[in-house]
Amino acid sequence: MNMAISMAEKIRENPFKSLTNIIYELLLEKIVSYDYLPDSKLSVADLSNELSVSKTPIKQAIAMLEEDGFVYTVKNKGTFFSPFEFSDYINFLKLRATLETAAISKAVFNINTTELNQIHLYLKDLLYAYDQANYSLIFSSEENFHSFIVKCSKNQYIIEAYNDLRIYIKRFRIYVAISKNHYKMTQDYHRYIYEALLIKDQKFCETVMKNHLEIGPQLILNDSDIYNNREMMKILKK
Amino acid sequence: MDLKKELKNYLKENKNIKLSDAIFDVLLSAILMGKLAPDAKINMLNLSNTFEVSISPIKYAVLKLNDIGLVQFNKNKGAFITIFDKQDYMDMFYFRMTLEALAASQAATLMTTEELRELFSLAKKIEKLSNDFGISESDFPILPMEVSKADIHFHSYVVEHSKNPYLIKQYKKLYPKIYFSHRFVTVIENLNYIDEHYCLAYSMMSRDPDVAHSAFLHHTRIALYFYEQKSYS
Repeated sequence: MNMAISMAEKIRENPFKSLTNIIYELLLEKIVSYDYLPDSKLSVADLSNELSVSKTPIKQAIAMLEEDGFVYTVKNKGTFFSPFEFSDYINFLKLRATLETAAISKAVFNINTTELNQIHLYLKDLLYAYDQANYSLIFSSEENFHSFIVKCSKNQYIIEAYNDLRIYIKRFRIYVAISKNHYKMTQDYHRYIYEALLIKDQKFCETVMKNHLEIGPQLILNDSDIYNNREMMKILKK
Repeated sequence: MDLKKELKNYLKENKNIKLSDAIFDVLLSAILMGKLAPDAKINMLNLSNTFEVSISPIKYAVLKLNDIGLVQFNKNKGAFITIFDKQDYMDMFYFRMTLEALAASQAATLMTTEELRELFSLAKKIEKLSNDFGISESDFPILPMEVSKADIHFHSYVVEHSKNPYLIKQYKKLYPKIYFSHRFVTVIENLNYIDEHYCLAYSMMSRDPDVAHSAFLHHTRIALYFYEQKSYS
């Protein structure tokens, strides 16, 4: 969608939101939708023309993006979109695995039958999505499944931290897409997670969640040449 | 308490700071020092009169305090300093424990010899300040601010050396709440308080992620146990 139209819509949704925040969100959505190639240049002047706004809010939004690691600046050359770094993905994943393990460890005692049934429904969606090998369906049903378990921890701090991570989960989904050789195993892990919650086995819950989130990158490392960002993009766009 | 005077001094020391940020900092330190008690109402009009500024920077500062969880808005009643109930405190602590254990396991292999030396000196600082305030001999009701600062400095030093930006960002968000919680919770029942920080530094020196992970987990679990037992006030 045209960025100027999206901006107008966002302003209509919340007239009190600052222009800087709106531009930040718009750019972020485009980045995590893989609309910009890694290391390609971000032109403030072009954006300013496209959105018909002054350069100031754009520069401020870019500063926010830079703080979050989505873009980087080279002195006297300009601002560029950050490439995917596998080490960055590992750091992100370590935190995600730790948070979700902590969450399930609490959720296993807090969860009620209705919530368990809901997780079962999300599991069914997810298994179907994997069967179809449909990327976008896989991402959305994974998100439903995982975020619901985090919610069941009833720990506001973990829930908020997980919500902060969501944008990165979206950004790094490229790694899930390229690991399609392991879909069968990933399906099984989700089934185990549900079963562990069903039998209320805390240790099993923790182990299976940790393994599920930490083993993926090891497999990616073992069987693919993932380091070319542009190649990865092609896989995802297929 | 003379908030106006504090703001004036603060602005004198930090010449380029925005007025709204300065007000935020002054209010934050007033809350952390216990000058504004939990559940106290924040009357923006009064504050605007006290500081002799317009209401906009006050609103900005209060919204920012709300962002970090130290102020809550009650519908039709106004803004209040957050009350920490026991469950909230336990949830925060559980979250903190989770983050720190991960940070320690990552930092264990990354810290240089100089950085480890610095960590030991931070543990020493905790010991010195604790002795200065006599907290190892007496039943001190509340951790003194200086000790609290040294304690948080020690832990955040480890977190920062995990070199994991995602983790550091989440931990930084917790700072105000950790300070705040130290104002109302006594940790002195845990008699090994001083020694434990040396143990943590030794665990980092092992450069073994598992050792560091379990040391930090143990440290925070023990503290959590004491909080859970009786020390919540």
